[in-house]
Amino acid sequence: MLNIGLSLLLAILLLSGCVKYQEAITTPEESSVKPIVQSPARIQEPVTNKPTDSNAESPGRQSTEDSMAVEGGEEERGSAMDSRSHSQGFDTEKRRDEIEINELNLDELVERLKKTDAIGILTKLTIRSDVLDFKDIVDSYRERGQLEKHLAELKERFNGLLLKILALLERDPSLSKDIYLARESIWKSFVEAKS
Amino acid sequence: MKIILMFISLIVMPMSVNAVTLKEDVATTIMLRGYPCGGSSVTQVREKSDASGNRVITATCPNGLRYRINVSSNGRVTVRQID
Repeated sequence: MLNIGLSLLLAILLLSGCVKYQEAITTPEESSVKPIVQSPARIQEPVTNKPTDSNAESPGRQSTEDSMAVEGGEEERGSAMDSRSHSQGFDTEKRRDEIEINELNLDELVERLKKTDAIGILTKLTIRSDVLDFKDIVDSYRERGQLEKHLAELKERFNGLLLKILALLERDPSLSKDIYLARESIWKSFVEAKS
Repeated sequence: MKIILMFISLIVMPMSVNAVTLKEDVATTIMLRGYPCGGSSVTQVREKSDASGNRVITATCPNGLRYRINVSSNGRVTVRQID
């Protein structure tokens, strides 16, 4: 009786595990950051459309291409334009993605950092102390009018702090990724003069 | 029977892995402040709070060193080694 009960429990647990796994596979778009995952496929697009690549890869097609020399020239021009438009489209999409990433709400990131279970409360307070110390340094340089002079040094320090936080967020890769993508916005929020 | 229990523990175990314990949290804090600890968890954790809201945590690292962690009422964290 006990054996049957345990095996039933095991079967239910295994089934629920399978269902969750399937959900995770079928709904990848739910992840908060999409652009970086999609970009490698897009990067390859213009390369495959290049006319020089198609010539190099298929010597068997040479004779047919020779017989269609007149049309070929136009086709090449067309494909070159295609690749250019593809790359332009890629550039604009990439720029749009970057803007979206830069516009990630910093307050939202802070809230997520506060709520994450990946690090403990003491570690969060330590990070907060480090960030406040960094902010104090930036403010003191600004007050003395030496911010521009020490910008490189501050950026190095900022990168170290960011690296530390990203390493600590090993158990929350989604938040870690979002913070990494928003690094320039975070940096600007420190350095830009407040009115 | 044992095999079934092993299976169940294998399934249940990952659920409890994600939570960070106070001992791990203290060890991480000590290392973040640049002190050697020799492991990712501490022992003999003692915690005290005073009337003004300051918290003092003492703990022993796996390398035998003892540390005092002060958390001030405004959330500033400082770590000091105890002789």
